[in-house]
Amino acid sequence: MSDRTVTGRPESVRIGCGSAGAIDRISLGVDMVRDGDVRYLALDCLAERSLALAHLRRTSGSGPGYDPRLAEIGAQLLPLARERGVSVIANLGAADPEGAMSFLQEHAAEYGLTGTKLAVIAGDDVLDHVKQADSEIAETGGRVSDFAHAVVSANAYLGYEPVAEALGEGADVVIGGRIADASLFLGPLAHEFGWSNEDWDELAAGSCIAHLLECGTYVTGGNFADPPYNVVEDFTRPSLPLADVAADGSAVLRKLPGSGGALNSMTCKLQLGYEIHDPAHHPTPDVVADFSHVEAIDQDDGGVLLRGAAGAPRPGQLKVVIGVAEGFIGENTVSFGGLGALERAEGAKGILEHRLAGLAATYDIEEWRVDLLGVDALHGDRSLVSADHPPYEVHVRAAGRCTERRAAEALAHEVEYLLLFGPAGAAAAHRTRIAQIVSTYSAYVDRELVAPSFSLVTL
Amino acid sequence: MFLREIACARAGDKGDVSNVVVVPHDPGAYPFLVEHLTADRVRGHFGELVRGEVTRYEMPGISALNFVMQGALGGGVTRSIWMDTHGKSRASLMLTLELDRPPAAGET
Repeated sequence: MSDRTVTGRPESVRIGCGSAGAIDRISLGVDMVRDGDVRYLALDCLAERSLALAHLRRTSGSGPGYDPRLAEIGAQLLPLARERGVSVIANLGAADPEGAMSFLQEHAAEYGLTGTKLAVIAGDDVLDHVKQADSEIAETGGRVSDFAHAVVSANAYLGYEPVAEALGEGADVVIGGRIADASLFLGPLAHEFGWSNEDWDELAAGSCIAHLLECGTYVTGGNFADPPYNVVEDFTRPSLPLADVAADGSAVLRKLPGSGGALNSMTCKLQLGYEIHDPAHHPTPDVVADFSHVEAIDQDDGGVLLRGAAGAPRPGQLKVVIGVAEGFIGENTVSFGGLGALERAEGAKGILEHRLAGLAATYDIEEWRVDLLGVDALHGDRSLVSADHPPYEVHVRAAGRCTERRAAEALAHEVEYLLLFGPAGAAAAHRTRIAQIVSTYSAYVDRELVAPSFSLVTL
Repeated sequence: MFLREIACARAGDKGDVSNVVVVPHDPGAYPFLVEHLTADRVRGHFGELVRGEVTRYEMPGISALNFVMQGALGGGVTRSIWMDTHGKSRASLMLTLELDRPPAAGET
């Protein structure tokens, strides 16, 4: 329990990350509740792809519009959080926050959540608005109407205020759709410390620690090991990060005691720059943050102190992510190994390039490519390839973006046909992938036109 | 010398924009990187993988440089047909950039 100042505000608030993305393990969030001694837990469940996929599930009826991990979260994490007095904030509502609420209401008794106060934040769905306003698409300079009936969704990034207000009304669990990642963490901090929505430096500092917390294991040893330069000894026991945040927004970042991975000033510095463009002008729905003078300082107890963020007034517009159904990706791979594998793979590539050029004349294929996995699939002609030591195995991979599913299937079949009429020793890799594309584009709406609200229910 | 010998890097994506932050192992190497790891060097190194502008930003608080590359991800993670749709491996490509070895202490 943190000490409180004479104003009743705490000196420090401990907040943990419970999930960094749609594929994160719920068991790590459970570990954080059990062992982290946190007051708040925030789960970031959305990214560009995951929200678009959620809308696709919802509209096609193939699955729920909310995070598919909701049952596990409801059964494993929320009851333990209730027991430990940990308040939970999550954008797991995704494309259907109301549906998530209904699910939790139905299963409340079964999960042991009866009595939990649940707030559901609405207002991020702005599809009707962007259609009526025919908003400009940032990436193309065109308009929403250019996409006609292919538009699947439009969600505005909501800020911290509805989260803070819901907590102020006594919510134990706050869920919503497209709440901005950092705002999930900023909401409880602003609520506890009594920050106003114009305390720009505090909001920037809170956004800075939120930025490090919301990507989870990226700051506790993930995406870091590169021996011999960066070494991680133990990958068996990952920990999500937590932070002790002070009233001015400075914070010490930590990982769970006894966990593996790595947390140090270097992991924090790398994560500070992640998905940042101009560090001196980083806009969020809540503030325009300046991270350029933030410092990450190793502490004796193994934590990392983050301080030095500054803030400027928040933008007058909110960013909107628009999902558009844009056809299908077709992809397939065949493999070659042994002496001369590279030469045979290059022969196969030549055949495919001829065949796919013909295919593109018959079908509407916007773009296609053939790569050699093991040689140049990641970095193209920038790859360092050794002439003296050619690779022992090479996989020939083709992929294309097609308007119709049957074109994507035809592309995949062309790769498969190499097994019947192509260089020697081709192995089927069983890697056919036909995937519907939901692309994301951006638009901006005046913040006055977006009215977030929340409803509070007792489970 | 490869950049990998003196720094590490991490790549992020937003739409069709890739950013790679470069952090030296020794903060003392920051002035050297500021002088030699320019946007032009990075633009040349990434070549046709990046169709748009490359802009460099300084992050003196952590002795890091951030390179923002437009038109870099085949349209972005949700529509790209490339193998690395997020461009996460671009951090590794950054570290293959070759630089002259920085002068040792005491040399100019």
